[in-house]
Amino acid sequence: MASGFDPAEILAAAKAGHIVALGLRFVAQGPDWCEFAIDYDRRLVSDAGTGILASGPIMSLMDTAGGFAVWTRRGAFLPQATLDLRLDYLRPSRPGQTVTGRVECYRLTRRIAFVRGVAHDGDIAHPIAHLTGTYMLLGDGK
Amino acid sequence: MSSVTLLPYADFLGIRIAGERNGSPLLVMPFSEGLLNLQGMMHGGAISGLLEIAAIAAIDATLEKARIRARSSSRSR
Repeated sequence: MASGFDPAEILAAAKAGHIVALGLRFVAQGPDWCEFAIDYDRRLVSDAGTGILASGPIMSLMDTAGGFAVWTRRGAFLPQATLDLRLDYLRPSRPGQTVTGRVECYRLTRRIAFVRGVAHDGDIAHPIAHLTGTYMLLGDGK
Repeated sequence: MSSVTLLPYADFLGIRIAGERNGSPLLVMPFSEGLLNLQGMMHGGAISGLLEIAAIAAIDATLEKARIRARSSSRSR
């Protein structure tokens, strides 16, 4: 693995916050990508009738996976901020299913990181949503 | 009034309706530690969540007004 950044270590240190409240789990990492998952939780539903997850938790999942993809590519846990994040929903997630988000940092400049990713609930070839985004790098990136 | 308070995710975020502004429900998400990201700022996803719930509330309120108008116009005929 090229990255010196370990998502599991950062998450283990987090005792509170939105990532903990949502129960986001780190799944996998590559040189320039990260995968996170969110297990089905009735508290995160936007319509109790259908049981479909709200889009907010999926946005949180993808924003988090995107941020971790950027840290992975930067090789360190440095300050950064989400500048723009667009999530195109293709279909609702299936009630009861874990949602997985895989995000790649495909370009890194001095000040901006570009990401793209996919959210799915079991089959990445049958996505729930597509993500594109940019993050502003605030610390000393490499 | 909108059914926002019945949405589990709105409750999870601690969102409440604080009245109305320009004909739409005004929603408030009070600060809580559970909304912060790893850098100690408000998580972008939580802000997205608030906006999503606010959009649902605005649509609900608009549809409810249309229903009330339709009922009163059918009565006056």
